[in-house]
Formats: sequence, C-alpha cells, structure tokens
Amino acid sequence: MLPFLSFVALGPANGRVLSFGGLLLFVALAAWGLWILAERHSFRRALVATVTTPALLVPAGMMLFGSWLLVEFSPGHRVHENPFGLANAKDLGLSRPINLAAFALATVVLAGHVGLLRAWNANRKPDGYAFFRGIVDHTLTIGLGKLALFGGAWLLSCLRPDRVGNVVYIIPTLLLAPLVCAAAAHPRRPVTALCATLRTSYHRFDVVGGLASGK
Amino acid sequence: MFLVASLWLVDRLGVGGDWDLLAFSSGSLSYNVFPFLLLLGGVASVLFAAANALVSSVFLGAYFMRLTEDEAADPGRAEIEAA
Repeated sequence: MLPFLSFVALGPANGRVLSFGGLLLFVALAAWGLWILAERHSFRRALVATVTTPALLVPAGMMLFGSWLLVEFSPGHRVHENPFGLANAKDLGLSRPINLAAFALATVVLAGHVGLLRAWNANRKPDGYAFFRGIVDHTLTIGLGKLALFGGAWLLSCLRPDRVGNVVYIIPTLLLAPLVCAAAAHPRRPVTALCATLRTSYHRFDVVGGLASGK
Repeated sequence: MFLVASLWLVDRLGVGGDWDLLAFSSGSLSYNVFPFLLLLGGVASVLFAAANALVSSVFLGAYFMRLTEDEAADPGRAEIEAA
C-alpha cells in the first residue's frame, strides 16, 4: 500500500505519469507486503506491538527528525550515515563531519532501540530508562558493527569501482538486524557480539530471508 | 520490498536522475530515511521516509521476536551462540 501511496504522492509533484506496468508493479509489491503483514505471525505481532506501543516508535521518530535537521541545515552537501563514503564516488558532495554526525545519531538511536526491544521482550515497560540503558549497553557494539559493515561496503566499492559495485554495496546492510540482535544478546561485550554475528551468520541470514519471503 | 520499490521508483521516475547515489543512499544501517530525504524533496519525501522508518522498526521488532521464538524452541542454539 505504501509504495502505491507514494506513487499517488510523488506522481503529481514531479509532473510525471507512471506507466500502466509501473502501476501494476506497485500494486503487486503492495499486495506482497500486505500478505506478509497479514499472514505472518511475527510480522503481525511486531506490527501490532510497534503501533500500539508508542515508545517503540520513538527511535524511528528521533532518527527521522535528526536526519531531516541534518539535511535541512547542510545545504549543498549529501548526507549519509556512512562515514567512509564510497571509493568511486568522489563527486557526491559528501561532507565527512556531517556524515559522522549522522553516523553517531543512527548509532545512539539504534542502541536505545535495542534497549526498548529488550525491555518489551522481557515484559518490562519500554520507557526512558530502558532507552538510556540501551544506549549505555549497546552503543559501542552497534558503532563497531556499523563501522565494520560500512568498511566492508567501502572495500566492495574499491574492488568494483563501477555501477555494479554500487549496487553490490547494499549487501552488507542486510546484516543490520543480525547485528542489532547480537548486540542485544551480549550487552557491553562488543567483540563477543561481533564474533557471534559472524559465527551465526548463516542462521541469522536465514531468519532475514525467511522474514522477507514470508516463511 | 521497500528497497526494491525505492530503486524502481527513483529509477523509473528519474527523480534526481542519480542512480549511483540512490544505491549509495539505500545502503542504510538504520531506518532507511536518507534515500528519500535526499532524493525526493518536499512533503512526499518526509512521508515516504517516515513510512520507511516505521517499516524498519517493525522489521527489527519482528526479527527480535523471531529469534526469541527460535531460541525458545531450540534452547541449545542460544547456548551455542553464547559460547
């Protein structure tokens, strides 16, 4: 539904008209998304829990607002949470200090989100204290993990300095959810958490694939 | 789904016309807000970024829940991971 709504919102704004095939593609994607949300137990529970527990929406709101501020107050610069950028994209107008700020914001917010998820999973109230505990316990793990993954992406862009490299660059980002959950399982032990992410990567990828394909 | 939709959307509509930048921006390690804040502009950009942030939160929650359920069904796996 959301891609379709985005078509409705974006089409007139840009003065372009989608083809019939494009519209069908959006409808198919929206139907697939709704099927996952409606049929899968984990997604349904997570959707209900996220929407009915306002605290679980706070991290996303913080990230959205912070990112918007960074974009608005850094005219002429491209903002991204990757502090390394790409080896083959020197003309993107990236600003290292701004990107570092975005990286720090995303890291702290994600760490707090882990704290909220842990509290919610343990039937405790996901409140400000849980958010703060998450920041204290998981910021280092999340930060190191993101640096490692973005470093891997940067190496990929070095190995394939063309358009293919830029697309392959997306692959390491699939490890975000495994990283977050490994951090949750090993509070204040960043190296152990990163090793656990690597050691159980097959199983964790399997879970990501299962969620994405609706298993 | 949102990644695919995002790639297709900007490639098809030609918003910004910078496919390489889109791939770069789509490589998010948080809530996937930058592709839309950067490339689209206006209220639509904020709305789509908010939708992606919401979906990212749901996905993380679902992933967290699925792992918890898996570990409850197979306690040995948690012990192996903790080792």
